[in-house]
Amino acid sequence: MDPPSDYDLAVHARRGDAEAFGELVRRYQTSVFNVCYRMMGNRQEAEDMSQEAFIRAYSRLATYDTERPFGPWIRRVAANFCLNRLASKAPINMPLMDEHETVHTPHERNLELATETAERARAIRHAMADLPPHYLAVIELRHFQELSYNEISYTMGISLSQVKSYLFRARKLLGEALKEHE
Amino acid sequence: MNEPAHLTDDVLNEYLDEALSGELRATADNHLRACMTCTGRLAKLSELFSMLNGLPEVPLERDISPHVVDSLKSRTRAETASLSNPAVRLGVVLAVEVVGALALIGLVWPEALDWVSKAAGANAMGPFTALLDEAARISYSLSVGQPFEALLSSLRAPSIPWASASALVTLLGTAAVAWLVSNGILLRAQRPTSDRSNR
Repeated sequence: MDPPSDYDLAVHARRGDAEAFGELVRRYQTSVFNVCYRMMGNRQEAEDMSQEAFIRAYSRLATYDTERPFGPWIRRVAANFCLNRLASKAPINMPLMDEHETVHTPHERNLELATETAERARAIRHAMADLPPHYLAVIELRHFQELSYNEISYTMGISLSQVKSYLFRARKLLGEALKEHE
Repeated sequence: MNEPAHLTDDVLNEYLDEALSGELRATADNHLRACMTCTGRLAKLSELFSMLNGLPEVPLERDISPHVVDSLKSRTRAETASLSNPAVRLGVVLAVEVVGALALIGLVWPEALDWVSKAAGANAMGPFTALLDEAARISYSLSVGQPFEALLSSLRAPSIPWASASALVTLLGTAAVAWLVSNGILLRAQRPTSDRSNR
C-alpha cells in the first residue's frame, strides 16, 4: 500500500488528526530545522523553534491551500516564525555549533576539501548570524526557499522595494563580513 | 569618448535574481560584454550567491514528531478539559435545569403564580401582574397592539388548565433530583478514564 500523500495527511490533520500531522512533521522536520538553524544560528534553539513552528502551523492549517505543496508552505511558516522571534528579542550573538558542518561531509574523499567546505559554511553562518532579522529573512526566503521578489513581499508583508532593498543590503553586509573573514 | 555608466548594484542583484525584464536584461548583457569592471563585480556577487546556495543542510539528530504530536494532543485535551471538569459540568447541568424549569413554569404560569402567591402571602405577585398590565398599556400606545396583548393574555390565562402548580413543582423537583443523581453517577464513572488519559 502506498504511503499517504501530503495532501491526504494535510486534509486529515485539518480535521484534527494529530497523528496525520505527525507524519507530515516526520517528512519535513529536517528542512524546517534547517530553516530555523540558518535563522537562529543555534542548534538547540533551532530544534525548539522547529517544534513550535510545527505546532503553530497546525493551528493555521485552515490557511494552507492543500492544492499547493506542503513543504514550501511549512518552511515559510517557520521562516516567519523565526523572524518574529528574532525581531522581538534583543540581538544576541548565538554560539554556533560548528562541529555539525564537518559531520555533514562524510563522503568527501579529500579531507582538505571537506575542511575547506566546512570552514566556508561556518563563515557564512557566522556572517548570517550578524545580519538584522529582516535582512536574514529575505536571504532565507530568496536563497534557500527560492521565492520570487513578489512572493517574499507577500510572505513578509513588506513592499517590493523593501524586498529589493533588504536583499541588496543583506548581500552587501554578507560580502563584507566574508571578506573580513578571509 | 564617454565611458558608459556602470551597472548599479541593484541591477547586478536583480540580474542574478533573474528579476530584470527582457529589455533591461538585454541592456545589462550588452554592457557586461563590454565592461570588465562590471563583469568583475558580477563575478564577485555571483560567488556570494554560490556560497549561500551551497550552504550544506545539517542533519536533525532526533525525531521531533513525537513531541509535536504529544503537544498537540495535550493541547486538545486542555481545550476539552473545561467541559469534562466535574464542577463545570455540574454548573452547566444546573443552569440547563433552571432554564428548563422556568420554561415549564411559563407554560402554566397562572397556576404557578397563584400557588406562589398563596405560599408567599397576599399580593406577593401583585407587582408582577401590575407589570404585565403596564406592558400591555405601553404596547398599545406604541401601536405594537394585538400580538403582544395576545402573548400577555396567554401568560394570564392557564395554557395547561389540568396542571396544578403543586403537581408541576413536584414533577420538576423529581426530574431535577434524578438528573443530578444520574450526572453524579456519570461523573464518577468517567473519573478513572480521564485520569488514565492524562498520564
